Amino acid sequence: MLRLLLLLMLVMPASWAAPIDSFSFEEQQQEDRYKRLIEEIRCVKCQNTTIAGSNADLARDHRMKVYEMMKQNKSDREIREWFVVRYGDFVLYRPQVDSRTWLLWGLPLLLVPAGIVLLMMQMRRRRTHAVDESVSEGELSESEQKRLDEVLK
Amino acid sequence: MATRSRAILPIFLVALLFILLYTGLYLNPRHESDDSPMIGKSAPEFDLPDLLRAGERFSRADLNGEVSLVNVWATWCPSCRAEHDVLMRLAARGEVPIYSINWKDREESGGSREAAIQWLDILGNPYNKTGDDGDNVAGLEWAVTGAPETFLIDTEGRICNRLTGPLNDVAMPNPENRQEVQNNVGNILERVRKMRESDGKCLTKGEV
Repeated sequence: MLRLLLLLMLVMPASWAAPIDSFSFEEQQQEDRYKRLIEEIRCVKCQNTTIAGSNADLARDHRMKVYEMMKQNKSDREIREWFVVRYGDFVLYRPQVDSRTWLLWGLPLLLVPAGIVLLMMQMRRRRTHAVDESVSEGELSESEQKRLDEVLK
Repeated sequence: MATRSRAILPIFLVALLFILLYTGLYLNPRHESDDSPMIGKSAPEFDLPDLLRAGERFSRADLNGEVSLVNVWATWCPSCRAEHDVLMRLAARGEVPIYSINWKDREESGGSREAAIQWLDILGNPYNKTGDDGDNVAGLEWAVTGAPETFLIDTEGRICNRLTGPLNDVAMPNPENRQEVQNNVGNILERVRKMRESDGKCLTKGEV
């Protein structure tokens, strides 16, 4: 009884997590590809989930369409294109790089090096500052020593 | 001077961020599906069995040569029921042919082919032709995201407008002036008339 319960606990969350379609794939690689594709296509009915995570009727039709296109040996690019042509760029969770999205994709590549340069500059400045301080704290220059002597007289 | 500008910079950035977030609060987070990439393009190829007349078809070829409306509906869709009266009124005017795609009317969606036939029988049939798209074949080509949905088609079979939701509360959005007009039947007909005046072509932005 306990064993059965444990087994049930093992199985059930998986069945809750995602809608189940009975698509069969000959190779594991194909199944992985299918899973990857449906994870990056938006459900146009519910908009804030992927077609992988949606139980909507239309999402099911879309998963079916992905499966069909895979069976027709369509490339990932062609499959994504099929959706973009109909529903627009927003249907993809990862927008394609083109003339309108290069800034979106490229900005991190620009900002990260810029940040590193800024950080290095800051550190260098702090270091030279620290050196200055150590000089003034430690040994006095000749003129300073002279002034000190005069003051302490 | 240098220290002063350094003190202002963070305040400026925070203010900018605040403005950004504040505007974001009032933006519609939902993607406006009326701005479909299908608009301005030729209506997709499709070929459906006629719902009412056995052996006949409703296909892309039916949409050539005149300004028309294509309405997507289903019996499981309450807004379609609300919209039906508007369609009947529109059809009674006899100014624009209305075609329809009976979309996903199958048991798994909560409808059926028989229910669809009965619907038109009891409530009246405003459509010149109705295609039976129970398996969402044409629906995927037309990029239908839900019912009801209405397309305005020009004489060359091009999609001029796409309207998601019932015709009751929103009129066909006018691309030059996206105003929502209550008198939707009149608005649609006015648009059809304007299209006829310009050779039956779409009145959309720019060249289309």
